[in-house]
Formats: sequence, structure tokens, C-alpha cells
Amino acid sequence: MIISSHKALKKQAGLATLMLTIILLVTATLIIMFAAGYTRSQQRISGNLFRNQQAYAAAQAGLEYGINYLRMNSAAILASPNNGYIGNYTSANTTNVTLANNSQYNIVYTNPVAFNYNLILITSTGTSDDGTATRVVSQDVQYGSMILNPGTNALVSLGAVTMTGNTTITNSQSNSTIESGSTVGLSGNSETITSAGISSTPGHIKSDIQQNAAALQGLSSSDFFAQIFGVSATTYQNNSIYSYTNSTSTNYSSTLNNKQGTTIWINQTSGTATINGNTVIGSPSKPVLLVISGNLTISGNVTIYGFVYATGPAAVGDITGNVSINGAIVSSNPITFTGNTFITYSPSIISALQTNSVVQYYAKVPGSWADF
Amino acid sequence: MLKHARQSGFTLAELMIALVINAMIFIGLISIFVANLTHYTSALNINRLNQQLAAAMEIMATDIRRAGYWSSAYTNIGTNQNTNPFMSSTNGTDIAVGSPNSCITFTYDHNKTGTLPSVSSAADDDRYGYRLNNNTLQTRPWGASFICSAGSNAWENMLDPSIVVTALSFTLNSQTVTTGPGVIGLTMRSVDISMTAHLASNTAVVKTLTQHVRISNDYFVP
Repeated sequence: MIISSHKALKKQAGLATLMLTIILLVTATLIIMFAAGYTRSQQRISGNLFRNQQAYAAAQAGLEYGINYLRMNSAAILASPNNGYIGNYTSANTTNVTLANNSQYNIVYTNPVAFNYNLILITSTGTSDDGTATRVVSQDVQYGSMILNPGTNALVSLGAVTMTGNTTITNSQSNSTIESGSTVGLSGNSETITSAGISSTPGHIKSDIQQNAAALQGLSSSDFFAQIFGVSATTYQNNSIYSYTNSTSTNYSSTLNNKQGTTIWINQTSGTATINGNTVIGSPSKPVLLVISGNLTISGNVTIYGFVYATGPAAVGDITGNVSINGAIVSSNPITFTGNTFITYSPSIISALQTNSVVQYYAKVPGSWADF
Repeated sequence: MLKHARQSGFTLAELMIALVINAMIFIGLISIFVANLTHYTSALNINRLNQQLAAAMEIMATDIRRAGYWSSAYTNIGTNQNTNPFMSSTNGTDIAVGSPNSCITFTYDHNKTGTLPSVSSAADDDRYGYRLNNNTLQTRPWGASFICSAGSNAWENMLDPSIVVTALSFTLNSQTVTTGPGVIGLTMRSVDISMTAHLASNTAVVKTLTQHVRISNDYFVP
């Protein structure tokens, strides 16, 4: 016993080192545990923030998608209203859609005002990838057609109109055929026909033709465009189904032949865009919207059903041969008609075009976005 | 017996050497311990600063994004008018950056009544504001004065006193696109927020956060 207690006394210096080491280690462990716990809770807060933002991004993505989806599928979505309110619409494209990062959105369409099916409230609910965070965003959208103001004339031109040969411009609906921001010149056998029969002839311009129309005076080409379409030319070009850009003279006949119920944008930066031969564009039930920016020549036996808009700085339009345009034609440039051209105003074709989903849009109502 | 005799004691020299070795180990251990402690303390402080600033920035960004919301916005459709009571610059309810630009005020229809209530502390009065005041971030509570120059105690502090905000700026950007002849258009607006803060206990721990917020509700220009 004496020996062992003697040994223990001799080892007390080692014990102090051991004790201090243990105390320091225990304290350090406690500090590390506290710091780790604190950092973990901060990580959780950051994680929550991240998932919250992920859910918000998914909801916002759903909202933007939902606006476009409504444009393309409005007939189905608005198909069966009940007591003035649209029915519950579900589809794989709008209901619990999973995005690439596994977050989800769910789109619900409602109409806030009974029997008003042009004003739609889109509510999009976003959920984070692990399902713990949810954000809801909502926005009112109002229906509109990009062909805002097609007018009631067969031909509207900012520039001078020249009609020669057997050109015939017809509006059997009313007494308005041509509206021009400049002069209208008729020669040869050209004539206009209104609901009352043959109206203006060379040397005898009647009231169906408005020359130097006050409404068009001083309008810039872009304002003129916006007045008719309600959106800028750039917006329109970006929304066109078909868009062609060429800097050398190009014949679009085979490209455009038999295109129906669509929107076409031709951007001819230099040279001339030509449509000729027996090309048929559009049909009475599926008319097209054809916008040509640049010099334009239509010749041969071309038949177009729809709305033709010719524009472009310093460009000229030249329509010749046996061309037949049913619908309306609008030009922001001087335009010349020769040969046996027939322009016939058709409200039914314009209306069929206006209600085609390719020119419909739903605009966000300013001030109606909310995420609460 | 021989063995026992050898174990019976240390010489002074042996003890001194043992003590010196022990002392060196102590010094080493304590310095590692102190370094650990310093590291965790600064890590915690940096964390706290980051976290508080990020949370404050998120709150401001979410709030500012809502500026101008009006639950009856659709009543203006087709009227060629903008009667949104939450975007009226004449009534001072439109989003505005104060002077100096460390203050922002705006309104939105939070309770979705369609009208702007009068200033009241009893209920949400739809008016919101953030500003830098006495080196801290403040937000306007219900019923308080809706101007940037409201008294120091009129608005509430958002951060704890361990965070010192040295700079805060709001920059309101706007771009108007016209949709047709005349002046009909939309003004799209955004706010850039920049905030710099340091720890009260350690001015060397500094953090600057910047955020771009697109205001979701555009201003209709009739």
C-alpha cells in the first residue's frame, strides 16, 4: 500500500497535464458543439430561404407559362362556364407540373367578374423541390387581339395610291374603299365598288375614297403600325409564327404557298420580296396575317385571304397581274396597282383572323400582380 | 527489491525536465484552444451579420416588389385612365425614394379592399417604408408618419444593436414604353438596393449586399 500511494504521489505531475487536457478538450468540444449547432440553424435558415425562393421562381414560371397557355388553349379553358364563372380546368400542362429542378407549379384559371370571360385571374402556386415551401402569385390578364384596329376600308395607305389597268377595289359592306394619307390616282379602267355599285372611276373620285385623310396626316410609320396592331412592330415580329429575313431579292412563292391560319413576317432588309405564280395564301376560313417590311412585288395569279401589311422605310409596294386579295391591305408606303388586281374587303375574313389564337393575346393588367 | 528501489523516486533533474515538458505541452494546448475559440467566435459573428443582412434584404425585396398592387386594377381596363390609389404621385402613395436616397416609401393593397385606408395603428394601413436611421435599418409600423423624415422613434428598428448599418441606398429606375400614338404606355420600374453593415463589436467584419428588384406592377401612363 505504501508503495502504491507513493507511486501515485510521484505521478501527480502527469495527472495535472491529463486533467488540464481533459478540461480544455471538454470545453473545446462544448464550444464546437455550440458553434456547430448555431451554424446548423443558420444553414437551415439559408435552406428555408433558398426553398422559399425556389417556390417563388416556380410560381412565377407557372404564371408566365399560364398566360401563354391560356392564349393557345382559351377555347378549352373557357369551354364550360357555370353561372357566369369558368369551370375547373385541369391538364398535364397546368396541374402540378414538375420543373427540371423538381420544383412544381399549379395553375388555376378563374374569372373575377361574373360573365366576363375576357378578364381572367391566373393563380399559380409554386412548391419547392422537397415540398416544404409554397408561394402563390396571381395576376389578372385581359383578352385582346393583335389586330386591334383593322379599319373598314379595303385599302389603307399612309403614302400615295396609284391604280391603273383593271384594278378593282371593292367594299360591298359600306361606302368606304380607300383611305390614304396622301393622294389617290385612278387611271385606265380602274374603279372602286361599294354597296351601291361602281363608285369612283378615273377622273371621278367619290366619297368612298378619302385622300389626305386627317387621321393619317403626320403619323410616323411606327405609330401607324401601333395604331392598327396595338403593339410595336418588334413585339409583333417576335410573336409571328413564321419569320423570314433576307437582304437580297427573294421569291417567297413556294415558301408561302398554302400557308393557312397563321402569321407571317417577311423582313426584306434590301432588295425586293416577290410573290408570284399561282400561289394561294390562306383560305376564307383560315386567313393569314402577312406583314412585309421592305420592297414588295406581288404579281401573277396570286390569291391571298387575310390581312396584308406592307411597311419599311422608303419601301414601295407594287401589285400587278391577276392578284386577288380578300380581306384588307394596309401600306405605310406608296403603293401601285396595275393589271387585273382585285382587292375585296371582307369583314368575315378579318374577323376570322382576329379571333384566331395566333393573333390573340392576354395582356397583364397593370397593378394586378400579387404574391400574398 | 532492486526493482522497487529504482522506482522509489525521481532526481531533481528528472522532475525539472518533466515540468518543462509539461509546461510546453500546456502552452501548446492553450494556444490551440485560444485559436479555436477565436475562430469560432469570428465565424459566429460573420454568420450573424450575413444572416441578419440577408434576411433584412429579403424582407425589403419581397415588400418592394409588391408596390402599387391594387385589387381593383381591372376596373381601369378600357377606360384610358389610371385611378390606382396605390400609384398616385399626387397623393404620395406611388413608390418614391426619399432624399437622401437611404429611404423608400410605397403602398400596396395588402388587405385587398380596393381602397387606401386612412393612416391607422389599429390595422394594416397599406403604407410601407424602409430607411437608414442612426446607423440602423428601420421600417414603418402601422399608424406611423408616412414620410422619410419621421422621428427616430416613429419607425421600428429591424436589426439588433450588434449590427451597425453604415450605408443604405435605394435607386429607382424607370423606363417607359409607349404602345401606340399619343402617350399611352407602361412605365416599368425597378429598385436597386445596396446595404453595407459591420459588427458593433468588430468594425473589420463588414458586409455589403446588393439586390435588384423588378417591381411587378407596371405603371400605366394614360
